Amino acid sequence: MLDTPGMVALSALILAALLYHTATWFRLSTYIIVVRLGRRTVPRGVLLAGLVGAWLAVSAAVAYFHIWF
Amino acid sequence: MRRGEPSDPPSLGDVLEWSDARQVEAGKRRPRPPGPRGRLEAFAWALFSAGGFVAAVLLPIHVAILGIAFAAGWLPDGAMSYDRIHHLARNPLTRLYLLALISLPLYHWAHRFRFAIHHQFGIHLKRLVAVGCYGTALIGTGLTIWVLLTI
Repeated sequence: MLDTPGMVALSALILAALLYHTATWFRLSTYIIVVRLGRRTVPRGVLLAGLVGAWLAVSAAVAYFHIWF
Repeated sequence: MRRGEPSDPPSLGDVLEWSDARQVEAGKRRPRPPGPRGRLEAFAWALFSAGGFVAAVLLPIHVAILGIAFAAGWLPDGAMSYDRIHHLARNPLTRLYLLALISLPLYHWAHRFRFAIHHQFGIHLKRLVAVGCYGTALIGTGLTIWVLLTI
């Protein structure tokens, strides 16, 4: 059932919406999360890079358990 | 919109900007409605935040694997076989993971859609909208638990 053209098109649409959510949510998070290192606060760009890195690492872990574990 | 009250009706962005602008004094709690209503409001925002992160971090890879990679035939043979996935899904840790994966984004949706109904659609039946939104999320959580316990 998941390999019919209609379901693949629907999945592509859902994936596009999810990636848009990921982008906007991470961008929003950099305004809300404040990480202090001593007296300095971590710049928004570094925070965004950290979020993207964590996202990639978590996605890889999920893929590993889902496919190969 | 860094200072002052949000416009009427405010968008979610206005509300966030407004609460951001009010949160200026370090070490001091931001004022919120007292009593059970305030605690419920804070709890709804906590679920909204948790669901937002689950939807942003965990859901894309699941849709990519199940919706795209599986149909495209990119997965190794037997990776999605019934026995393997059934065994994986019956693990208690997987069940907890699936409960969080499925139910938390429902509360994210409920909280966001509640404000969308008020501010984007201009409907102000506050109690009915809240019951409808959070009720849908609660029903979804109940169905999830039922399915997870019976697989």
